[in-house]
Amino acid sequence: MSLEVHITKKLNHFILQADLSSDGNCTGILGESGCGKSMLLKCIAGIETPDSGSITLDGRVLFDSEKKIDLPPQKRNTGYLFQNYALFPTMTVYENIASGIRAGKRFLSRSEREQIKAAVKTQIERCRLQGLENQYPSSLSGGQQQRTALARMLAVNPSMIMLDEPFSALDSHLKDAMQREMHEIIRNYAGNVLIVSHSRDELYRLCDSLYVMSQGRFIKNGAIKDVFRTPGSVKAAVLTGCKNITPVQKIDDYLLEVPEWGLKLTPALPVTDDITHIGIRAHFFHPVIPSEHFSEHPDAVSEHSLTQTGSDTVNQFQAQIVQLEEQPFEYDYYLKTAGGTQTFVWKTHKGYGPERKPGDRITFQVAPEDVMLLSD
Amino acid sequence: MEDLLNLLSGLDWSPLFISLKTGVVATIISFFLGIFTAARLLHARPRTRAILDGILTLPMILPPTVAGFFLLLIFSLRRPFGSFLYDTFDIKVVQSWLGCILAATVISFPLMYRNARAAFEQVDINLIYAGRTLGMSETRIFWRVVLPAAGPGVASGTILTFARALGEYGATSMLAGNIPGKTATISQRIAMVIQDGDYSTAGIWVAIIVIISFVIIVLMNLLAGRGQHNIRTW
Repeated sequence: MSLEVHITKKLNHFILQADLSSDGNCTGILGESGCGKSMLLKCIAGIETPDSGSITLDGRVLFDSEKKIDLPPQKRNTGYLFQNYALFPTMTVYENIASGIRAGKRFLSRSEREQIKAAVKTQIERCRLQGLENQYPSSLSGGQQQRTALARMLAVNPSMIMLDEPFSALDSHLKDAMQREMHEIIRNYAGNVLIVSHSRDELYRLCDSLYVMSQGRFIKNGAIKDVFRTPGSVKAAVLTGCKNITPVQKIDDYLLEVPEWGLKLTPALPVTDDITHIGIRAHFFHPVIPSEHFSEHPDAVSEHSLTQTGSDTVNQFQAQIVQLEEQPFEYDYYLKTAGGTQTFVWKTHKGYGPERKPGDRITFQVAPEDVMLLSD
Repeated sequence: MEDLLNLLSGLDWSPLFISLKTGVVATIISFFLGIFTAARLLHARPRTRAILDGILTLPMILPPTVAGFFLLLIFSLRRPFGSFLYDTFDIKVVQSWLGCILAATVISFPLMYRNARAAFEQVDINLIYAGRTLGMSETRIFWRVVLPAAGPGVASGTILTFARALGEYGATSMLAGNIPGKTATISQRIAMVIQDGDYSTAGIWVAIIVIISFVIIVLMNLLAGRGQHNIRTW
């Protein structure tokens, strides 16, 4: 269960240069639109041809520019879920799912026909499509279309599956349900899974490891939690959804000057010379609440543990709310310190602590391990 | 009214059958040839495609008499190829029903080819990619995915091809001539009786061809509209 990809391909505005390996787990590729991530999947599936390099799946060489090996997509046995699902519009759900199973054969014996019927039935049950067998794709909902495409892909027992922006075409209320179903399918699938997306939330839910792509190159990879905790570069931090990124100057190994916020902050890791910025996720600012009010605030637990680990005043500062943006279940408070020139955002769940108003002054603390060190 | 009945009962109906037969056969040939050419040209390099497309479309935009000229140049019994066909295989294109078919096919082919090509180009490329990753052969993808998806365009191309083949006049009259009962199509009959000043007979044939063309096109439109589940209106 291994996938090894080392390819380069010249695209219009940049060169796709990808080195990726995966061992039967679910790997996510995160990147903005047009960064080359879909092209990478197409190269693996054999729809596009890389300029050079090699692709090996479970010991089978799918592509090798030096050995002049380039298997056609029909022989690669990879499953590909297209962004628009690419269901055959003139075939019913049943025919769509069956289309790949009988692929090579023109005439079928009775037992083969029975086998196909059974295989389609398995997929129809697995992807919850019962009762829709004779419907055409145009009369299906987005979620049903996606399940049909999944069933069609799984019906041919692919050696690996690739999902290209799997949820981008779904309404948000369907997205959540489909992500859960997809999670179930991925868990039950033995081979490699590659998911390409621009949404960090989708990938975080579904994947074990993550590659971050920018302009055709991987700028960070690793276990998904590690990549989110230490993205390493400004670009990767932005792609993983960090809202607060600001330039810094090193004072010493454990102290940074943050001029735009008018602060001095201490990170958990020593500052190396290539560090130019820091990032702090919007959920990681903790209001410091006087100890006699602990019980009134559910999130006070974290403050309590914080004050126990470090010294009481490390990374503590006062800031004023300059703007409030209300989300359905969260408040986004835009904050500024007395000496700062730029605002930063603090997200907090409604019901956690009192509702604050613009003009309020609050004392915050940031855990040193939540100060992400970033290079340019 | 009595005059009309007399006229109808005395009418030589052969042009109707010759036209229908010619139209059907020419449409069948154009259908397969047009689809085949369109599919092949999709994979050609852009420059090759532009040139071949130009050659294949020419019969549609040139006067039919120009096509007739070239056809005569090839198939006339006084020309090498024409006499070769006649002497060796006993095949006579000029002044024969074969000439009717050939002329109608050459003139109507571009309509089929162009409509098929436009329809193929509209097919979502991801459908073809999906077929490939599912292990379907290229031939199977073409017949089971591309052609059905291009259905409406191909159907309208077929309708136009038939209508054009049915009414072909210029190249037919040059190549096949106007032999009553053999190569005299409706359009040629109309031209002939008008020359004789017989406007009543001409009127009958005009009415017949208008009705046939209209009924067939409406019928095929209805047929093509049925079973198309992916048609959208706006």
